[in-house]
Amino acid sequence: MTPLRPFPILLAAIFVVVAAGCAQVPVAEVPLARYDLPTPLATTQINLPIDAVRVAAAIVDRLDGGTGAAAGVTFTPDAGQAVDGSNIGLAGFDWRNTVLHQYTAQIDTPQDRVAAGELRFDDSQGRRAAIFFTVEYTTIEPIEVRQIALLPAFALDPAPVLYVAPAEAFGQIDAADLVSQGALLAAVAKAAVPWRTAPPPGDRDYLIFVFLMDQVSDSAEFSIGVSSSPGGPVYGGGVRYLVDGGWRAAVLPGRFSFGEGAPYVIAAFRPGSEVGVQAGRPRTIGSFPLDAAVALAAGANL
Amino acid sequence: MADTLALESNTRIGSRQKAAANAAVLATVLGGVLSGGMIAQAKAQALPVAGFAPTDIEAILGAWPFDGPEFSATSLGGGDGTAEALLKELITAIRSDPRFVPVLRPGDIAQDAVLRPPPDSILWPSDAQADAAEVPPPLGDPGAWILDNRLQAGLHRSNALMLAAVGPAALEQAGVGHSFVSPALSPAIANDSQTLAFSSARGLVTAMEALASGCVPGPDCTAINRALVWAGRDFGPAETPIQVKIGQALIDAASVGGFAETPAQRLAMMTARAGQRRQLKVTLAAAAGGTQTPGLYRIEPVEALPWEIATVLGAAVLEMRKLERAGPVWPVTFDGTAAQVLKEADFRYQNFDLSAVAVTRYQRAFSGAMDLSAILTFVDGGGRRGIASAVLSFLISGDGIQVQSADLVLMAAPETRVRLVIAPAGLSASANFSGMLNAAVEHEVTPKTAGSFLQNFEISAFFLDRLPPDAQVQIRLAADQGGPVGFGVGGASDFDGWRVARMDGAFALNGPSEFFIKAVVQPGGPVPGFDRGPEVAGEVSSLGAKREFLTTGPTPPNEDKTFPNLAAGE
Repeated sequence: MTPLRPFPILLAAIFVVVAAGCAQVPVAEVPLARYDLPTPLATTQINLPIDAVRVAAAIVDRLDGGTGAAAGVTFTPDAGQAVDGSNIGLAGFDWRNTVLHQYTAQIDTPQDRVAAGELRFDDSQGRRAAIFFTVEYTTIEPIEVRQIALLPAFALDPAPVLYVAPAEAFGQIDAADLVSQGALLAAVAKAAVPWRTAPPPGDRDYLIFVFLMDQVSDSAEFSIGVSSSPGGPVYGGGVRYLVDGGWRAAVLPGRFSFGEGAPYVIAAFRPGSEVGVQAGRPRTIGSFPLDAAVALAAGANL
Repeated sequence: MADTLALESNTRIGSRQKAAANAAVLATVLGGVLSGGMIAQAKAQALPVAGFAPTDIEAILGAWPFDGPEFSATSLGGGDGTAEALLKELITAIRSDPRFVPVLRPGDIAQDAVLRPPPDSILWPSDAQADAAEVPPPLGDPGAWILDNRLQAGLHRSNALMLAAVGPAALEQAGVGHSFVSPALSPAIANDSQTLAFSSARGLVTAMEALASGCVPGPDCTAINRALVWAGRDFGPAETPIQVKIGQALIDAASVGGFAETPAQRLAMMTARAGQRRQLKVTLAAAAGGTQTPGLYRIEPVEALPWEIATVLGAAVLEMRKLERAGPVWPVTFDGTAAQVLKEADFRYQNFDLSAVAVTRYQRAFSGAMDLSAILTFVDGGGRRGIASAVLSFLISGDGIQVQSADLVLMAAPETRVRLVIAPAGLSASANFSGMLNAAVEHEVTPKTAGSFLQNFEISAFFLDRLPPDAQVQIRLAADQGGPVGFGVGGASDFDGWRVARMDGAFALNGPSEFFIKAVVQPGGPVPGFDRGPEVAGEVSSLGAKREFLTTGPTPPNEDKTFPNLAAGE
């Protein structure tokens, strides 16, 4: 029996070494994932050819329940069905910009175009979403879209937003506010305390909310926790996550004060399978000091 | 181990207290190691975080609302990965689709760029159009303007581009008595005196030549009719054709908002307003701005405008001024809603001069109608400037000129001019822009004349260029010069699009620490594809260095560039 005794010690030692080694590599340095797309040809609409803008406008119009005729564009039945059946309409979102990654005419049919790019949207709460498109159309008037593919362009580096609300503020929350991220965001923003500028004194029970303001994929992983320091071990027990399609939120209950020594809230994110096999470590996308003085000094970095 | 973590994290919060601390530590460490830094799902007691104690929220709330089926303890969203797989395929296709080869270089694509409002120029509908049900998506709607592919919309956008390209200086140079035409876009203007319209206007010219003194036969024998006839008979040299005289009389009347008996009277009215601007110190030169493109346009005296353009634009401006009480502006008549479209609900350019007429397009349509597009600039005695883009379509027959359609949108200048005035606090409040400006200037204090002790001041920023309804203005105080950064204070008022931002404060001009008062403007709301942010329209230092107008070129001091053609006579 005695020969076996060193093994747990060895195992523990390995854990310590591995854990220590791991701690030396801050998660914040995990490289940002990117889509393997060609360099954009145009990043603002003013630099887009008029036919591309009209087609983009027609796609948006069609996604919004229109026909595209407002932009002088028609769709073949198949192309129209592809848009109508894509089920990626963004109700409540406004079209803000179009990025064009590819734009080309075929050699044998120079009046035809094939374009690929990204439609960008945001809503009144500041949430952002994007749609990738590839489209084939003729420029002979009226412009006709013959083929089209649309898919949500999931964010790979979503922006987190943190709120802290008194625990008791949600004793009577409307059930309707719990089913969508947008409704929860509105309710939380209303109940949140202005802790950076006017922190309530002493230890109290709070709910910490972190919202992702960009649409992410279902297979993406989003997690939050608290830590004593920005790079320290993170505690994430008790967190509950809301998954509303591609819209995420997390809530963590805890007792703390906003004074000196208050913990940090860490948000980590790992994109889903849209950028390859799920591998690698999550990347820290947010580190929020709950010490009001530290947070205020950090200012715009928060 | 991942399963262990999931199991652990799925336990209810209330029961977590019972788990073994050491197991949680192990789970935490292994979670961190094996999942590559994923945030561990474990107990606070096991992994103490200074200053934070997990709470049993159920004990506080009775039943906490975030434990329902919508909320999960796992940080994965789930899903079957279909959307992600399709997205991956799409991206691969974009990268490797042979139809995308050869690709354009980034610079190539702008060659085919669209005509649209540039970032520093804004179009918005006047009140009249906003109320008209049949008007398509307004150009001023940032979410819908691109969907408006009417010819008129395209021409308004061209006007916005022209305004941004040549800058306000060119328009100001056009001034009263000058026209500004673009030969490239106005093929119907063959030369100074010959237009394509002449061929179809012979009948009308004959009718005009047959005019007897007094009124045009018909029920309306109005002041305008009489003035037109009078002007046609007596204005200018005897050899001037009657149609030219009538066109000139109409554009003259449009310039000042009333029929003057002689050109000298018209000039006297404009000179008086120029004098008011000098008194109020709002006559500083406009910024050069824009990109001057030789050959793109020419500047000529307004007398060189083809007579039918002068006639139609003159009549249109008289409609904008709501001078219909004076009677129809024969020989021009307006169809249906065309006249109504030209009128703003609560505004009629009273006390404004028509300071510039820029014809940007003049062309015969297949229907035989003449399409006319123009930029009209108005300036008042307080230095306020309003710019409108007008698109008209008219037919010339033996009976007169019939305006079949009209479309009018308002335009923001590429650069917003501002007059910053510091005056002692407690000035009597005035209900309008001119009253406020006059009162503030009358009591103006400059850093040079003020004592360097603490006093109560009122700072006003008079934005002299008309701004769209969603524009924002503010006075900001900052320790640093330049840039819109600063502490925003005070409020703002909107007078038909001309804004006044005001603030009260106690401070010492010429005091020991210098600060800057900035008049900040964000010309409009968000426009798809454009990053529009606040800009500094004017800035004044508490020590006296003053920069009231953004200037990009040398400007002669104390010269009223608004009316260069009047400078010699003043």
